[in-house]
Amino acid sequence: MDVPIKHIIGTVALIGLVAMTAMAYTIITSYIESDVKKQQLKQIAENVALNLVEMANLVNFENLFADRNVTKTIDVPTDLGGNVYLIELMNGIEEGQGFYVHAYLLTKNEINAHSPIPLNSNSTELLISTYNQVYSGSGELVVWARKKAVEQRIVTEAGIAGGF
Amino acid sequence: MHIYEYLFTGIIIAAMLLSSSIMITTLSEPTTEVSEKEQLKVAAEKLITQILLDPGYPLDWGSDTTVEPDSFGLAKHNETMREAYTLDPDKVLRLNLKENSSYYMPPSLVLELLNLGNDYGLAIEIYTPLDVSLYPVNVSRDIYEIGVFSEHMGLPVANAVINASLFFLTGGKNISSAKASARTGDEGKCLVDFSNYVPQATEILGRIIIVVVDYSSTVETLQKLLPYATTGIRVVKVFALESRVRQASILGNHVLFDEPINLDSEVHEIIVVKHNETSGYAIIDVRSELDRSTVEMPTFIHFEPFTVAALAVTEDGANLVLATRTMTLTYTSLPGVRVFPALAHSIERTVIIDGSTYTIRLTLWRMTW
Repeated sequence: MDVPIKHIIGTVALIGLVAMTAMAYTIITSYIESDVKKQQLKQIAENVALNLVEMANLVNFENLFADRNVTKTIDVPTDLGGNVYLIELMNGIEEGQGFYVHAYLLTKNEINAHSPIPLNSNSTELLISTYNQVYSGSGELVVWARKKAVEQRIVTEAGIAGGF
Repeated sequence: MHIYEYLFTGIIIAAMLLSSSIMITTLSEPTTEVSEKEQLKVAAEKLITQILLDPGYPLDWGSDTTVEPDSFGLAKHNETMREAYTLDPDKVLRLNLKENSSYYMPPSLVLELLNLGNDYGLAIEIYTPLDVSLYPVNVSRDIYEIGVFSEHMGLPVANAVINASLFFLTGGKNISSAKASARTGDEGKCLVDFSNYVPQATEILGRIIIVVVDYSSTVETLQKLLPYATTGIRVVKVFALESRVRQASILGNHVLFDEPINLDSEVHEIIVVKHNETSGYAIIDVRSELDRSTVEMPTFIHFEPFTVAALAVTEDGANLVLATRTMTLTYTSLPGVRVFPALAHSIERTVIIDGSTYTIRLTLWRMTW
């Protein structure tokens, strides 16, 4: 009896160890995967922020009364490892963060990244349109900017759009 | 199966987990590092676009000393004309003032206005593409050698047109001037001789030499390639030759001192104007007056917009006062540090400030990864 019990304990311990190893491996790989996805989201957010700054500054160089939108279509991945993600412009002035681009996975909100927009965050000369959320599905995102009359002042408005 | 064999199998499984984890981490590390560098590159491009193309808000926050900007950008604002990569000298100067000046823009404020918070550190360096130096050959006869070298590698710049003006103070609060021009030779050097214009027997209380270097408009091949190009590389350098010359800065239409100086009301504004295709630039002296109601910060009654320097005399006539706009700077969020973190990304652009050519380098790094 002594020998089979020893074998049973040993075998159960081995099976447990294999299961724990598999679990630990999964946790480690998912951690690395989420880290890589965060990096990819950060790259996308930085790219959107760069284009937004460029568009807004381009419009500032235009004729003061030019009444048209300046747009630029940028290619973004349709998904990240099969996960759809969302890009949105956020107003974090009250939290002291100014405007920023926020990108996150739709299925896992905790995998997210943001990129600051270094534009006139506190001034009234620029409006960042924070109404739109753009889903990654179409693989294309439009960054736009235009001059707009607000209370007898000409201000620059910029934003993003998608789904084209 | 013995107990040792179970233990051995367990150790092998644990070792496999450990090695495969290390392998996965190691494999993903280069990708992550490349991605981080790429992000930093894009972030640096985003910032330099904002800094060089946006005038900030208020639009004249550089010259209006009564306001703190709400938004940061160094571009020059003009109601009727837009010029890309043309910076406002007053905005640049506010980064270049002494830290104890009330008009100085601390890097922490710049980081805050750019929405970077504590996540990033940055450095802005502005320097001239040509290094201009002055060597006295015969001081008593006012003969000097001027050297022009490329900032990168110090290569000599030949065939550059040099226009120089010597301003000197003699008794009776008189500021006199003498002009000379030359072209640099193959060694990037030339002589400028003011001896025929400076009275040798008179005691000179202060000397200032303003040198204007005009380079690419004299290069024939470049003219053939760019026949309609109106500007080449222009570098203005001001040399104060005596220690008794008191230094000040020009901010907006004010003169800023480190310590209050009682000035005479007459002031000489020095402006630089393009001659023609091959003769470089003329250095012109425009007389104006100072409103001295505020002793700490006298105001020009009429201020020429492209003034590169202003000369005045102290009320007792003993000192020459030189007010300049020094555009070359190293401005960093790590005070006193000139070496930046290894993973920092640098990006350079050529800009025009007050009609002169400069190179601006932005270095950006993450404070945390």
